[in-house]
Amino acid sequence: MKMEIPAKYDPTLTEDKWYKYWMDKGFFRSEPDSREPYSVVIPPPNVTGVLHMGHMLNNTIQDILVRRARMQGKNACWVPGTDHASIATEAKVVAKLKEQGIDKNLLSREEFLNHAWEWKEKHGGIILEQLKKLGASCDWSRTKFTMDQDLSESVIKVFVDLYNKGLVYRGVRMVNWDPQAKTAVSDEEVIYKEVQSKLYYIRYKVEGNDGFVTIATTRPETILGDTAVCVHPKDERFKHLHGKKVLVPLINRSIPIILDDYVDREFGTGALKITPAHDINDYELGDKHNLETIDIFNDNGTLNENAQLYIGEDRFDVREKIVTDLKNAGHIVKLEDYINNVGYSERTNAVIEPKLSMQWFCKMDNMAKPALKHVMDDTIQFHPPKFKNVYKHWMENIKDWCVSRQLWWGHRIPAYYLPEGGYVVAETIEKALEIAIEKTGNKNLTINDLKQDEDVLDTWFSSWLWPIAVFDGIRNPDNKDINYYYPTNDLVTAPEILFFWVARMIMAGYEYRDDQPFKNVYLTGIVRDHLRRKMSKSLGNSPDPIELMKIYGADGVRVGMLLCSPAGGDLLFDESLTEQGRNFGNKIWNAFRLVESWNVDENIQQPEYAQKTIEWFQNKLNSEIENINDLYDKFRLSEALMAVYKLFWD
Amino acid sequence: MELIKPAYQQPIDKKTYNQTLSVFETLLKLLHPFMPFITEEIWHLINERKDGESIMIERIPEAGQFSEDIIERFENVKETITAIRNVRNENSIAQKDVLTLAIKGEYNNDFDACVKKMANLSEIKSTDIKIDGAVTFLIQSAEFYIELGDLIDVEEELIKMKEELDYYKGFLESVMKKLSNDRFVQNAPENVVLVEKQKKADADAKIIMLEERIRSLKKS
Repeated sequence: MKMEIPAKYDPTLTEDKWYKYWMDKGFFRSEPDSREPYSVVIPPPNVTGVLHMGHMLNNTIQDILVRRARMQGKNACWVPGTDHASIATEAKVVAKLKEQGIDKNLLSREEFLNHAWEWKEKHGGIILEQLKKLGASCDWSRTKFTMDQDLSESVIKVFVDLYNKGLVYRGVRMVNWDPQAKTAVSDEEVIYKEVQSKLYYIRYKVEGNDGFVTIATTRPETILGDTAVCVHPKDERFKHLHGKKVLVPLINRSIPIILDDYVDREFGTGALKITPAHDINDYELGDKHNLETIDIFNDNGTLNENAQLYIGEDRFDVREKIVTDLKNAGHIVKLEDYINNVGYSERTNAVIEPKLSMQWFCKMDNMAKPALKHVMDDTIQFHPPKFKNVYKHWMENIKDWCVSRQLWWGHRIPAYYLPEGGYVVAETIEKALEIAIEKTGNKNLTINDLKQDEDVLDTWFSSWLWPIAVFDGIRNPDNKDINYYYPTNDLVTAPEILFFWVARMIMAGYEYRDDQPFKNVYLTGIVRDHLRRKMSKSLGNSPDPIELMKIYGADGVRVGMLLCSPAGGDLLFDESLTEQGRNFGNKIWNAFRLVESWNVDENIQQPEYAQKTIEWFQNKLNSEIENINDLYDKFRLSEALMAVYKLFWD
Repeated sequence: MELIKPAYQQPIDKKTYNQTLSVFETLLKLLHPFMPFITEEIWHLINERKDGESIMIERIPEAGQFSEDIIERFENVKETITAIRNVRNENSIAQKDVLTLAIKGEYNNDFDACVKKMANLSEIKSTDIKIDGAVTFLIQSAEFYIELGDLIDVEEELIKMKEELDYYKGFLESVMKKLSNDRFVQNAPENVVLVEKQKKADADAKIIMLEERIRSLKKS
């Protein structure tokens, strides 16, 4: 008996129905067994984020790989989860509180965190629900969040372990300071932009005679923190100044002339002002010449008492004011237009201020070695392999990782300061107290005497453990899950986070499992619009994936994502592609209806033409399956899809 | 699909039907990772399924043995069918009018049944000699002949051909005028000259084809 087949395929009638069926039957569940494992960990999206086209591409690819592996008879396990995204989430919560008239600075840490958790409960997990619409076959019973109890314990355990191994240390360093978020940010979170600036030529009076020396700077407000003027030792123009001192204009502070061949004689006047507290190169010179360091800025970018002038005023207001005052005092020689690179914070767009501060660092050089080796020898394969070069360059020039952030939302650093100075690092305050008593010999110490570090860890300090921590391999390194699922098979992610995330996972993998975290890394392109512009909210050129799925069905959008033609690694997305995806579905539906409409007569023999055609198609099919398998191995999924598509045609 | 489908409103034999469904199911499995929902829906409609069954936990087909030879031969078959359809179009012969095909040279007849069905042929025979008056085409080294016989009016066809021949000769002349003009050849952009040369080659080929056809029509 034949069923009535609807004339048109309606995804709204089938997608939710089948997703529910798959969930109810537990088809996405995975537990270790005797089959070959196939595991993938999702790149955890920001917990309060919403789905964008980049997620659609990334998760469509993962789902294709996972579903295929499952159908190959492997025990497929795709672990979903979300990231607490320290700085991004905190910025959102601060902005939301501001809208409600609440100033973060007036809240206690605990009060603020209550707001943040509330925000997380309200918006967290929306994105995971959206992924279900796409058909993602994740094992939802394994869903993790980077601030879950078990993951937090793993992060803290690793911090303490690295500290005990001497790989985590505390030190003063020049960091990229975001005066708006009031936190240090990593080098990778600074975006450099070419800016039209002015080069100010300012003359300093020589102490003890009537001479002057002129320097050139783009940041006249920082002269208040100058502690030297530097010239090239062989520069004849300044020979007469060797051993002399000059006076900082307006405040007449006496500073030495120093000599260093670091100075570029061709730049500006050949004489350089040195401000060790506010420039990384000056900091290093200051270190070398034992110069004083005068920090003239508050954390929010206003000037402090050290500046002597303009106290409490913003650095950019001061720039204008000081130029006027310098002019009036006869210190400005000239101004020139000048194009320079200025660093901006990726999160807040504030101009980054180089700032000396006490931070926690993680030593990288030894961890980088196995991580570099195993990528270069293809133990871990990058697809496409061109990214090996970028990776090599990074790993060979790696700097220590500043892991502390002056934020509240995240994993609080487990360092406890003692009343008599010094600190101890431990997983719990109770343990910290034990160590503190042992260290100080003071048996009267109590938990109340210990003051925990105010800072939290960089978000990547938790996500670098992701492939291990989701299987509880940090706390229980010999458990059933980690032994079965690790190393994972494929990681699908974006090239932008190759260093932030991928490289660090590889380092953590070798440090904590002595093994690679994954076998393949498939780096997808950036989804752009048909004019090649990056998709963004402000341009309004990013379609809402949920709306697209309502119109074209999840299948249509999935196919549309794969039909994007890669151009230089980027994907040019156009809504017509999802329409093509839907049309492809309709064609299959119609082919199916045609076959279903045939009347079968049991009494007729199979004609020769039919027998021959089927014989041919079997051969063709086998040949194409071989081809498709090869394309999968090369992660050429669009081509694999096209091959299947053509088979339907034949 | 076109090859196996039964004639309009005719039933299909059970075996072909089942084999078609089985192939269709194989394709659905290959497609499932890309389009999980529609494949699951069709998979459930194509056959009775028990509760707890799903395409997503079926085994994806693995590649079996195959013969490159068969695949290649079938490509020839497709080409043959297309060529015969072109003959029908060019000579305004309806698909329902049955033709016969004669082949001179090396040809594998494994798939004759398919060609017969798709091109509506009564017979495919081999021949050692050229068949005058037949329409001819070449696939690889084999020559194919189709006798159109009564299906076309020779006189009328000859007039049509001659008109066409005159048109192409005139066209060739105008192209040659341009190409024999040194100023044009030297000064026009390279691609423009190339286009003209291509036009000449096309017209030459067409004229040869028409002359050949007229010759053979006259003999019949």
